[in-house]
Amino acid sequence: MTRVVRFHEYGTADVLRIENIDVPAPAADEVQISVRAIGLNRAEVMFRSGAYLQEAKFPSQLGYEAAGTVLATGGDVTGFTQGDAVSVIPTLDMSRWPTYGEVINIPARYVVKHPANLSFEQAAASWMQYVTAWGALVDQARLTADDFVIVSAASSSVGIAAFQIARSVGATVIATTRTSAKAQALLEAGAHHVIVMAEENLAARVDEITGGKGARVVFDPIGGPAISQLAEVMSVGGILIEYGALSSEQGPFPQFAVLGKSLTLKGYLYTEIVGNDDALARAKAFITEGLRTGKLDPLVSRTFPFEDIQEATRFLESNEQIGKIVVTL
Amino acid sequence: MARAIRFHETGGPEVLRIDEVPTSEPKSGEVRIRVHALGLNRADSMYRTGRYVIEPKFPASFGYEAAGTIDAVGPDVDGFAIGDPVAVIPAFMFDEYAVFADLAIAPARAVVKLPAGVSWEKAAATWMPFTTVWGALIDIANLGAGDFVVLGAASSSVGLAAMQIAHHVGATPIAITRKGEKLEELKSAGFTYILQTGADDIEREILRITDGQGARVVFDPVTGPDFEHIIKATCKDAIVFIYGALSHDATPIPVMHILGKHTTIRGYEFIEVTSDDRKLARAKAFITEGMSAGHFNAQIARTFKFEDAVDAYRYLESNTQFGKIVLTLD
Repeated sequence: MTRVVRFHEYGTADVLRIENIDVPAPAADEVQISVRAIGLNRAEVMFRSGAYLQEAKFPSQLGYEAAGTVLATGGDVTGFTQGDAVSVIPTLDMSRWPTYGEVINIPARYVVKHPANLSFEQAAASWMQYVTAWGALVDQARLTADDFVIVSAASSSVGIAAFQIARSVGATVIATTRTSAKAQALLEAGAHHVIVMAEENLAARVDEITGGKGARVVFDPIGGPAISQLAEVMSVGGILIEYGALSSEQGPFPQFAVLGKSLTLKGYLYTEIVGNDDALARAKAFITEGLRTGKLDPLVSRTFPFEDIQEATRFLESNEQIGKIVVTL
Repeated sequence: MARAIRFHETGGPEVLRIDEVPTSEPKSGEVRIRVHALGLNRADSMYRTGRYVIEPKFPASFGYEAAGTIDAVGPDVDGFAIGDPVAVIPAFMFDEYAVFADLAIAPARAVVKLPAGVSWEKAAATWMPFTTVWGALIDIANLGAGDFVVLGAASSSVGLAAMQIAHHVGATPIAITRKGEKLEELKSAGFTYILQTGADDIEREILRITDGQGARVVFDPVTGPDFEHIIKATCKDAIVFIYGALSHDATPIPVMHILGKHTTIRGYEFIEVTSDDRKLARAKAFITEGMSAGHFNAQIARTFKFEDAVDAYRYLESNTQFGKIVLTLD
């Protein structure tokens, strides 16, 4: 028997249970992993709450990220042997290939041998955030050293990852955050500039930082009314990549800014990258190299033992953290 | 001497006059055209009423679209000879060049030789709408066989050009119009699918027409409350162009749809093509080919004599026309 996390109804972190199940042998294309660390994501909170793109079938498992060692491989799998230290790139279906458990089966396509300098905690905290940020900033927005990029809701793990991805191509990072509480921590985490939305004027600050040019790229998970404000501070030909819908408010579409500056507004999910073989291969290469050289350095906010999965999830939902929350086994 | 349509104060169509002006010689990179037809644009009216992106300096001359023959060639111009039939693509502002005259100066990069068999009226009505459409649907969206493209304000010159370009590449256009009286005209212009805002359930109808898939491309100058229903009827990885904001109402965005389907919404301007020499060259080649094949036939609403420009603009501003309004000169 194997301990896994499941939920039998939608709800708060209270619905998460640790239960014993039989994990089947890996399918022909799967790798079976003995999990040492699990990275927590907001998508899992949304899935558990019934607010995700995908519906749960109860009892449901969950989880996108993990790292551990290879226990067994399916018949068609090559390139992995028992004992390899590996991590999991988020798959396209967390209920089919969940990661919150002691033993998990994951298609080999989504399993990576991570560089040896990485701990299991860091490895479990790498792939969602870096694939998401790389796909948006490098693959889609073609970020370069000449660019200014605004990263909003910057203290999330993807936000911090975006700083590192942007810095690795030489771009200048402008982070936005609601209050001054996290401003210093964001500068320490790699933002070149931080704008405190509750205290500062976004337009005036971006104007000053960019020398009147505006930011060509915006990376935003909030949506809602802020989209209009962000569109105002973008440069001609700019692209705003929307990768979440954290705001429950419906914001107006900024049609005059979009029209006047030929702006692009693009909805984006990491699945665009992991669902495409070429893009996934490019992502793996870029991120593995970044992790090896240390340009990409996953920031773990706090670790919790597996038994405290509810507590770990509540901490994620508190929004007090900067960086990733990891559960260890 | 040349005759130019000008105005000496802002106002309604009645402020337009035909003034005698000295004939200009083409400078380096320029040609002079003996004009046979002129295409009217809404930008002309906006400029004349003082509501355009640039302010008029009086006496103000204007005009974006013209067709005629080369009358003189300036230094450093290749590829044009006196007598060539040509049209002007609006790759300039009114304070740089203004073609509403019987003898007009234009920059050679904005001039294109016409294929045989195209009337002056059609030639003067083609390049603004077809170049606008090419830049979005062909150059950026790579529209092709099997695609569905939704066209807002379909009865405009640009909407009708988009229909012909879609047909030319094997795509299926879906027209959206606000006005019931345009339905018959859209049908006879060649649309198979025509939806009317306020009368039809836009989202449901587009999904039905596309067999549940949704359209891959949207080309819309309206935005406003209907915009979200159009977006919800697009497929994965769709691209939605906005090239105007005719609606003054708020435009809600369906964020969850955009995320889940990775939708791109892109502001688009004609100048993205005309400011880029390579794009402009590709646009000229594509449109010339479509004209030669007989696939691109600009819809002419009505022609007026050059001397009747006041009446022509009254007609333009009535918004009752279907297609382009053209002025002709002998």
